[in-house]
Amino acid sequence: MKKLLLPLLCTFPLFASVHVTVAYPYIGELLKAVAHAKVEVSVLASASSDPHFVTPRPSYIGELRDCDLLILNGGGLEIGWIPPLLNQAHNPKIIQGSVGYLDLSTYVKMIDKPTSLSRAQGDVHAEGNPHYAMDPYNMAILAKVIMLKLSSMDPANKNAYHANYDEFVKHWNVKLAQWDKTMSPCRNTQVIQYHELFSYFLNRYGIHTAGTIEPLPGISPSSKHTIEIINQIRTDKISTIIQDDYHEPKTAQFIASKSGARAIILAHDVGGENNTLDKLFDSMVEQTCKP
Amino acid sequence: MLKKTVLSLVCAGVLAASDTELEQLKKQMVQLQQQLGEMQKRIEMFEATPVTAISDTASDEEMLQKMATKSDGGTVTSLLPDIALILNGGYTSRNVSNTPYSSAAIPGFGTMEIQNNGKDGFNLNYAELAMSSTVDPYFDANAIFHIHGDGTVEVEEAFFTTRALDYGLRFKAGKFKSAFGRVNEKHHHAWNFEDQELVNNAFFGPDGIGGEGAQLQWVAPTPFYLMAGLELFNGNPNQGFSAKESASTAVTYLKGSIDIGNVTVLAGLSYAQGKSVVQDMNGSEPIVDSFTSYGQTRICGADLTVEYPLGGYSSLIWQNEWMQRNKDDISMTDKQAGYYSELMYKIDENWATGIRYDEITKNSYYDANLAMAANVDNLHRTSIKLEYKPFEFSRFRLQYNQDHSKYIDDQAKTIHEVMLNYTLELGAHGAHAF
Repeated sequence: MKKLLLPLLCTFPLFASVHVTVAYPYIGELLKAVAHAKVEVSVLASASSDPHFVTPRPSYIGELRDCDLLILNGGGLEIGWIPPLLNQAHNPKIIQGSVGYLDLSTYVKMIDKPTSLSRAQGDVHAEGNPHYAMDPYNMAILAKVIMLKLSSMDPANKNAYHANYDEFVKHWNVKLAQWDKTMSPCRNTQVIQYHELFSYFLNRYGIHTAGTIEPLPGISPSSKHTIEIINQIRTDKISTIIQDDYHEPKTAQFIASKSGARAIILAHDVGGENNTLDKLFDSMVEQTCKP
Repeated sequence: MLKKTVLSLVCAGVLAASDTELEQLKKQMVQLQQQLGEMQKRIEMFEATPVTAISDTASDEEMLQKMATKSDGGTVTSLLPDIALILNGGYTSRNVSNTPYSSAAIPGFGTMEIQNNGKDGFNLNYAELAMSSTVDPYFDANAIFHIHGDGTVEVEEAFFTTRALDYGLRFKAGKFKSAFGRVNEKHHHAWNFEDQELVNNAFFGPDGIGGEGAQLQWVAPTPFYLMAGLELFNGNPNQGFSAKESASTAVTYLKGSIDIGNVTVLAGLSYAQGKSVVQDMNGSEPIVDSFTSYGQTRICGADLTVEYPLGGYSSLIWQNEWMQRNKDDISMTDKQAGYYSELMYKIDENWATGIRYDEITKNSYYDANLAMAANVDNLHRTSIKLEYKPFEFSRFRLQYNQDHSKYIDDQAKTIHEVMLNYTLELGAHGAHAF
């Protein structure tokens, strides 16, 4: 009986030495790339929801209760849903200030830091635009942070984490070169976004955000602002409107029909058809800059 | 000799060149200039774009150092507590004027203390001042004050919780709301409707069960969410318990949640026990202290919440709670029970609507005025609401109640009321739990 049970139990990831919970699917993908099956990963949010307003399902408390490491996007993106969960999970290993609390935003350069802070400007983050994960170049940095963190928490598997990271970066550099090439004709063009969700991606490839469909961050579109955007698209000859997949697409479609620009819907995280990091950025690149 | 030859050749060439060739050359020059200009622009754009190549970023050592000093996630710029101010108020219109309404009672439960939206007319319900902070590596602390329109200040909650207990345990002490059932712990501005659920209001009064006390909660190491809690409070006559013996009200509960695909299911069982308080029906003053103990009040509760997401910001939430009270009274045991059922529909980011039905289903009690047993049931209320949130931190709510639960001057009175309410959250107000 024992002989039968042992191999069964060993294949179970429950016996992984580090249990990690991550806020968003893309972090889960990075973790898989660095750790393969060496850690048990739970991903909280799904790709289909607004990353600012994830429903804090009580089941997430169960995930957080037993994990050794919590990896967050940070930059204020989770402020609307993670704090009450952490408060209810009663896990001292992962509270802010503990070894098991990793905020990835502190390892990358944040853009659009507001010079003055007032909610009259909408939902502005003091830390800057938190959607830095949309820049594919940041993925390699984040993978490195995760690799170093895992290595320090689980030194027995340090070599494996390093080797996996090297492999990931090698592959990622090939992809980056491809994306650079595909995106190069679109440099110096202008787009309209719904929310400043893809700013890091667009900045990376020299595409200028001429305006947003929401008048201010977190404020729903108004007819006055929509008309302004339509006029702006006409005068500046802007060809593309980028819509995320959780806000209503009607306004973008309306603007497109009135202005002649094309509206595209970009995924912002790994899930559904874009079930790997490669596919996520492939689809972003292909849709934004069609050859 | 050579120079001369070259010069004459060039001259000959230029002279030989036809007008059309010159034109072509000019065109090419213009094109070249344009291309140069574009290249210049691209270079400028490229320089303006912040490019952080992998090699530009921090070294392994720098990253490791940052991790070791635990400075990640440290967006704290000062050691001041987080401070939030919540303004809540509105306009109420009902078919009963203020004086008779203030004496309205639910039979078997006594006169209702109306805390919010009570006046027919304008109401500033409260300005809530909430402060919270981490005290040290071991404790967090919170304090929530309500400053009412009439100038009175109330300590809603003031408590500390532990941060560093192992085994999924957390201890809380101070003045706080009990986690009995589904809504008791929530603050007014986080309620689904403008007024308290009927059964909660009848059993525990407007503040709900809670007060000065202590709590121990345990999150079980199960693959799904399971939490158990135990609380002890001073008995409070306003919540239906005798204050004669201190720390005599105990609460315990078990809450669990599972996800079925996209659907979230949260269920709970709660139990509260304390010394009975006996209410004089002629007035609101409890008379228990002049009597010897009347025995125990026991309350069982069950709740079920189901959230069904409809994509984007849209979802359906069905929330239900039932509770029953067995209260040892002067010559009998009062048996009272009630429930509510709420269906909320979040239409989009800005709009939501909902319907609620409240009912007291069982109500046999000792009537102190008549000095005999009484039984008044068929007490119920129906509510509908429409909510508009222009932004994350502001909300307007319109609600209509048809209330068949109140008696005025010992006569059943159907109350119709319309409430238009605003809630504005300023400052560092924390997110709400599920």
